Amino acid sequence: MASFNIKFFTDIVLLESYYKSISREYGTHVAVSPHTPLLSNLNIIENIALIEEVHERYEREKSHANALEKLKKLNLQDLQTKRPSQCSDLELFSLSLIRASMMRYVTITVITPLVQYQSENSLEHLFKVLNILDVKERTIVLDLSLYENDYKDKGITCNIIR
Amino acid sequence: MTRVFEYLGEITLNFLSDVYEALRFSYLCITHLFLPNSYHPAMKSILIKQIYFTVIQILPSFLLLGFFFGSLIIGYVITLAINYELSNQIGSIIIGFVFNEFAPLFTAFLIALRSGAAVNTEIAVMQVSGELNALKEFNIGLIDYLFLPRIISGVISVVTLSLIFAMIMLVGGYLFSLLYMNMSLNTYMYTLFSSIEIENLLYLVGKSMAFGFVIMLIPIYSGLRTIKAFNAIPIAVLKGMVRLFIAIFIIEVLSLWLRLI
Repeated sequence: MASFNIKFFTDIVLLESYYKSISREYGTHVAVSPHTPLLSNLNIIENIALIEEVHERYEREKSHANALEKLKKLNLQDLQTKRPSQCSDLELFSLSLIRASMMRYVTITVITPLVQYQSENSLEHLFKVLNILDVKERTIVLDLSLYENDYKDKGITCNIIR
Repeated sequence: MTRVFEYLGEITLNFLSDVYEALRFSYLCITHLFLPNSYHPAMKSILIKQIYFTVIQILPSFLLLGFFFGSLIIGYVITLAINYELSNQIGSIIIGFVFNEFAPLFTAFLIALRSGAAVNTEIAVMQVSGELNALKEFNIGLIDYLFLPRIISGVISVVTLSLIFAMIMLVGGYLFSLLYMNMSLNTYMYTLFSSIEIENLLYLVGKSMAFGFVIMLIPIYSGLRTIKAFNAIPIAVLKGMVRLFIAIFIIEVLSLWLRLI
């Protein structure tokens, strides 16, 4: 079974400088973090479809159909016409992952999921979403060492990069 | 004394650096205007929305305001011309006043107050909330996706609305000519058509284009330079609007100077 990579850091400064170093190569990484929110002046489907409209030059109909397909996979199709402010934190997290998954051939870097989305089952949710979207192999999670045990406690299969 | 010179030097250097950055930004935006790659489907979709917001949505209130305000102003100009015994030059006075001066300037002020302020706030909020950062992260060019649609719609809206405003003023002018000079529609039309030249139209279009460009460019630039704090947004909007009004006056003065030489 395919697994994904996690790298832990003792503090947030080290984590951010690591992300800066790996994302320096233009267009190789895309972050899912509080610093990369969905656009508030677009609805959910427009936010997701935007990636293909810009990078693949798909027309609105095609990009929206692809975005809707991804939303349906996660049973979030009811959110398509809503604005980001109308969604819960966990929904926004899933939607950010969907948007990131629309970027082809790049590594999806999820930054501090436990800090971003403080919920009992946020880790299970993250891995469920990554599985459904089938992007586990090109995902890397960057998190703080103090959460290392949370990952172990949940029995999540992953490669810890040292 | 040395401190005074240091202070003045710092202000001058900061000012020159700001001007250089603003010119560089303008150059980048103008360059992207002519790149076919800039026009991707998302950009076109935003452009249509922006044209709707800046031209169509404003149209009913603009027509109403234009009719009442424009008619009164042109009425006053006609009355003055009659009082100063310039009735035989009424056509060129109306055309010169409406096309060269009033219609573009009035429209520019209106669009600056409405759309300029909105765009400045929008970009500043996007900057503070990290949305601009998100776009950069996803390799979505800010100039192509965000700025060009606004700049193009600004140019289109000021040109279109200036022409509409000029037409409304000419209609208002007819009502006053009928009232004060008992001028028939045919005579009024003849007076206008014999006074209008292609230069007047080109002047209106050129001036409106310049206004439209700065009305969007300066608020965008000001919004982009907002520091990442929510209380910096009103300051960014205030600075942007002051700079915008200075730019509008500079264009107006330059256009007057161009006509004089």
